[in-house]
Amino acid sequence: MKKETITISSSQGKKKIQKDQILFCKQYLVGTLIELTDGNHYLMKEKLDELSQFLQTDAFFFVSNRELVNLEHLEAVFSDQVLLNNQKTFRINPIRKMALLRRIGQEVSL
Amino acid sequence: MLYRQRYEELSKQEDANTEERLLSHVSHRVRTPLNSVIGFSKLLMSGDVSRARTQEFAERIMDSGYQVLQYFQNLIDLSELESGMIKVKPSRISLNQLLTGIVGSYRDRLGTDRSIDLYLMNNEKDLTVFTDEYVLERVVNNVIELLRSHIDEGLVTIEYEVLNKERMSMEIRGIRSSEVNGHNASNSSESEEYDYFTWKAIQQLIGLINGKAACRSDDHEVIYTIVFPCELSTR
Repeated sequence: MKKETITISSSQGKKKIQKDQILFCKQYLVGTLIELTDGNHYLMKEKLDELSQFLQTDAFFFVSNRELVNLEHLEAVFSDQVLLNNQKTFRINPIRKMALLRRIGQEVSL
Repeated sequence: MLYRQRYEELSKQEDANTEERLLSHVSHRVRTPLNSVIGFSKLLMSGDVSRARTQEFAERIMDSGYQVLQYFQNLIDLSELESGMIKVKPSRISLNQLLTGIVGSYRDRLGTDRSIDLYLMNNEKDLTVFTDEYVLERVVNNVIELLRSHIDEGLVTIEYEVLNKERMSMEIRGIRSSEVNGHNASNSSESEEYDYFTWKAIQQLIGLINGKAACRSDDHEVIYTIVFPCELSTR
C-alpha cells in the first residue's frame, strides 16, 4: 500500500515526508515544529490549523490548541497526560481526554 | 578584577547607584538559585511530598545548581580571558555529538515538565570541524541561557550551515509560545545585567576562535547567529 505523504517547506528547504512518520506537531508564535520518528525536526512557517488540513486523517488528535499528536504512536493515556512512544509527554485537559478515549475506542468514565 | 572593570564601565554611564546595582546583580544571580536549592531541599527532606513532586523538586534543584555553576564559570572565563590564561586548543570534533550532548544535558536540567523545548534541527549529516571544543560549548551554553531568560516559555532550535570551506554559521533561535506580557522576566534590571555579563562572555569567547556573534529579535523570537572559522569534513 502506498504511504500517504505531504511536502513541507521548512527552513531547510522542501521535503517530502510520510504522514505516519510524524510523531507530533506543535505550534509556536513563529511556525510549527514537526518531530518525525527518525528523530529529525522541522520548523514550518504554516500554522498548526493549516497543517492539520493537509494531514486530514483520523490518526491525528489535538491534545491542546497548539499540539497535534499522531495516535499511531500513542503509548499511554494518564490522568492529565498522554505519552508517545518516543517518551514525549503532553498535557491534556479532561474534556480533550474524554474525546481522545472515545476516538481510540476506550471506555470513558468520569 | 572583573567586578571592578564592570564597575568602571557603569561608572562611565554616570550612574550614581552603580555599586548597588552591581551588588544587587551578583546577589540576585547567586542568592536566588541557592535559595531555590535550600527551599526545595527542605521540602524534600520533610518527606511529605508525592513522587511526582519529588521528581519536579529534584529537577529544580539541579537546574538551580547549574545556573550558579554557569554564572561562576562565566566570571572565571572572563577573568582568564583578560589575563590571557585561556588558550585555544583546536581539535577535530563531531558537531552533532557536541550539540546533541548540550541538548541532552539541557533537557535533563529542564526536567520532564519543562517550559522550554530544545531541539537540534538539521542533524542528518554530521560534520567534523576543527575548532576549540571548550570555547564552542561555552558559547552555545551561554546563548541557550540567554534565550531561556528572554523567552520564558517556548522553543529553542539549534541549526548550523556551512558558509564555505573555511567558515560556518550556527543559528540558535528562541521562539515564544505566546505573546510577551508585561511581566516578562527579560524586562527586569537583574535580567539586563545578567544579559550584559553573558553577552560579554559570548563575545569574548567566540572572539578567541576568530568568530563573531550577533543577535536580532522581535516580539515573537530572538535569534543569535554565530559565525566561526573551521576546517570541515563530512562524516
